[in-house]
Amino acid sequence: MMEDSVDATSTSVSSIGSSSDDSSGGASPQMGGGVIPPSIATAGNGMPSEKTYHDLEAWLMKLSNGIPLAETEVKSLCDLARETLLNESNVQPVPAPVTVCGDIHGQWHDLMELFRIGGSAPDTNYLFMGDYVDRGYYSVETVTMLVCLKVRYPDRVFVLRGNHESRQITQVYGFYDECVRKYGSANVWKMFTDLFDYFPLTALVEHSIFCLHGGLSPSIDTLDHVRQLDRVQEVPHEGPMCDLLWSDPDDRNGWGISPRGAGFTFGVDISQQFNERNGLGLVSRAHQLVMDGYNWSHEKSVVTIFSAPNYCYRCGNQAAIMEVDENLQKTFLQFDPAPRRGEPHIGRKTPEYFL
Amino acid sequence: MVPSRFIFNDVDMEAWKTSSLKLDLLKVVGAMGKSCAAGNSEFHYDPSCPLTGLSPAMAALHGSLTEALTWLEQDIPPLELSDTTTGTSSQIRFGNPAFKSWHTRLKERSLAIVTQMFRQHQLYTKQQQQQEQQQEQQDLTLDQIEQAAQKGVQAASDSKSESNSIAESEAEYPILLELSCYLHDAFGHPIRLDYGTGHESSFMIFLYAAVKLGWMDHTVDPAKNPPSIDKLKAATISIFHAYLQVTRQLQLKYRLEPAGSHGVWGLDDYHCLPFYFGACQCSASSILPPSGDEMPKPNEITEERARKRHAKSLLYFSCMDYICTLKRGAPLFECSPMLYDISQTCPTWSKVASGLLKLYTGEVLDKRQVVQHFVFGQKLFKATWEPSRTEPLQAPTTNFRLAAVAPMVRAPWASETASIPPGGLPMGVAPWARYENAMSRQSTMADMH
Repeated sequence: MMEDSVDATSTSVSSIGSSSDDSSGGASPQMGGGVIPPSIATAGNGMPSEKTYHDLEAWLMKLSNGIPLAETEVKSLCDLARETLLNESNVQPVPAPVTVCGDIHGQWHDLMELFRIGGSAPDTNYLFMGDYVDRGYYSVETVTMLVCLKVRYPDRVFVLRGNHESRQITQVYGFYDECVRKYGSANVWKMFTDLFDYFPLTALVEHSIFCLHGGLSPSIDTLDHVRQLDRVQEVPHEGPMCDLLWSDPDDRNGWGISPRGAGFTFGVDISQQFNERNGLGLVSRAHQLVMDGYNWSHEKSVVTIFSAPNYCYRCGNQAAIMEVDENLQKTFLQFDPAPRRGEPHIGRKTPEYFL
Repeated sequence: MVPSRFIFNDVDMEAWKTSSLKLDLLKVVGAMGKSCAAGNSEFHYDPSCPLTGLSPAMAALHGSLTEALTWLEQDIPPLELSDTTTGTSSQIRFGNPAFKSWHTRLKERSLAIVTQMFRQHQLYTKQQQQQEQQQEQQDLTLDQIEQAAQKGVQAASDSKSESNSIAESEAEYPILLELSCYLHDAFGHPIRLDYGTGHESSFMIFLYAAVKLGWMDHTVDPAKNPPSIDKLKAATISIFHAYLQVTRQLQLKYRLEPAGSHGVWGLDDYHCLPFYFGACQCSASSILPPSGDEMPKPNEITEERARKRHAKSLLYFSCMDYICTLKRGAPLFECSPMLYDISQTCPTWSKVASGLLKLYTGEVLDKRQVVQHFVFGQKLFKATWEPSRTEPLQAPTTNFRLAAVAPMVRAPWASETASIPPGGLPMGVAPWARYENAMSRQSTMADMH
């Protein structure tokens, strides 16, 4: 139903290949050298060719300068990523040390700042808990970069699915419009949203920290229940998979109707039961704007992490990431928006309603 | 009967989209816009005298809005941020919980506010009736308008006083109660601590009801005598200026989250209608009264000097000034590409205005994420369809799996499709019945992050 509206849309604007010669922001986190890490070689689904590594390195170089990939490159990247992600579990095991991050929402410059603060990949291992796209101006650059890192360093970078990694949501909140604006058609949007279906729903750091985008679900008591879900589909409007990506912790005990209209709210009693039953120390989640970038709740059984500083250019919040060391000690690093230089302008387009 | 939700699923949504009610609401929005755009209107908004030209009811509302500003400043300051490391449950995530108290006060005083609007309207229409034999329509003196506004201030500051109260037995009580409820949703959500175009629309619904009651003017029979262009324009511009003062203060001081914002890809995080009315206002003439200066062009919104200069009198520039003050760290074309593009590609204000009305229809009134929260009453804003659900939503009281009876080792959706089978669930699994019930709302993707 949703795809219907996609094919019809292809008004042209300057396409990526020609418009993005100017690198912006001056950000260029080091993405490692050209040495093929053993982690990829043992990834399990065939040996990626030498060319693949060179492509990945070249793409990362482009992306770290804020230059989006060409459509054909995105296609190749998504094909590679699908193979990688397909092999991951609904509850993807993640080793410590790892740095856990929340919503990014297309704030590419701030993602670069995140790498400056937290260390560049793969020197630092990363776990991102979803919501890479929508609202921000650079969702294309952001999600391409993260997917590229995932493919290049599959055992060192982990990306989960957020409620915005969905066809329906991205058509409302900007990623679709951005793709059409930057690529002149919805093809890239289609490639990415098809890929999102493969993103794992949750991760488990050292059997102790359960990481996911939204929160708990009344239909899920154990991690095994999560493992049983067939995740390769659009985020449903209801049910356990929807809840994992939509729910929020709440001050009230028990389950509550979510004012969002999807997922539920859950109280401290629910969180503690869930942690105890599954032998967990902490539920780590994102999904909600937090003034300080992170926010403990439910007597420290739940933590919210939000990694988009000055959200929507106006909220004035700090961003944070959570470093988890080998002993599962947690350190929060907060950061502010990256200072910006004057940047070139990509052009303008009459909005649909004003034609 | 207080107003309630009528939009729960796609069927309801379709009913709303094609309803005569939506059309009528749009008609009123359009009429208000047209009044602002009318080149022949005598009325020009003067920020130093914002009551000029208002009807008695609108003057009272203006007074109440002004008073509502003081609630925050004097009585309900934002709570101090607590230390995030303590892990207490009362700590502040983002929005300031003091907004709940502000909202409670709004609910306490809303009936007094609308009652006073009604009383002021009644006072002058009665006079009108008595004078009808002698002359056509007498306009109010500024003194009279100021008195009406003062009554509005009192209603919002002392809801207990007798002049602001209304007995349940009075004939107007149900209508006033309904009207007051539209105000409750017009300033943000007390639990989500957010504000968006849905809340703005609720304020519009409130004004729509006021139009229906004839309160934009002080004519006796609103059906026969629609409000004059001048009165409607005065109400639109002046009331929205006052309303924005309140909502902006709430957004800033209580840090209300942008509700369902499209980020840079939408018109604005919080508002839509003031841009439309503002564009209409700018399209009214090529000269800017009273100075006689030239009316600024759409592309002048990119100039800070122009924004500052016109922010007080022109709604559109007021909105732009607010955005540019708030959104920092990036150029306008990046943080507000749509507003930038409009300014660069629309040569005239009337073009801007017509686009904005289409945008309001498409992005606000036709979006389920927004309008599912609308409430509909019995008289003033009455739904023309039967809602698909009449019982309130219920949260589950227990985990479904833990509560499920023994033979259900595997949950139904643990199969291939991760969904509830079409035939429904086995009988006797009580929690599931509730689950189905809670879920039958076909939950939507109302979204924050």
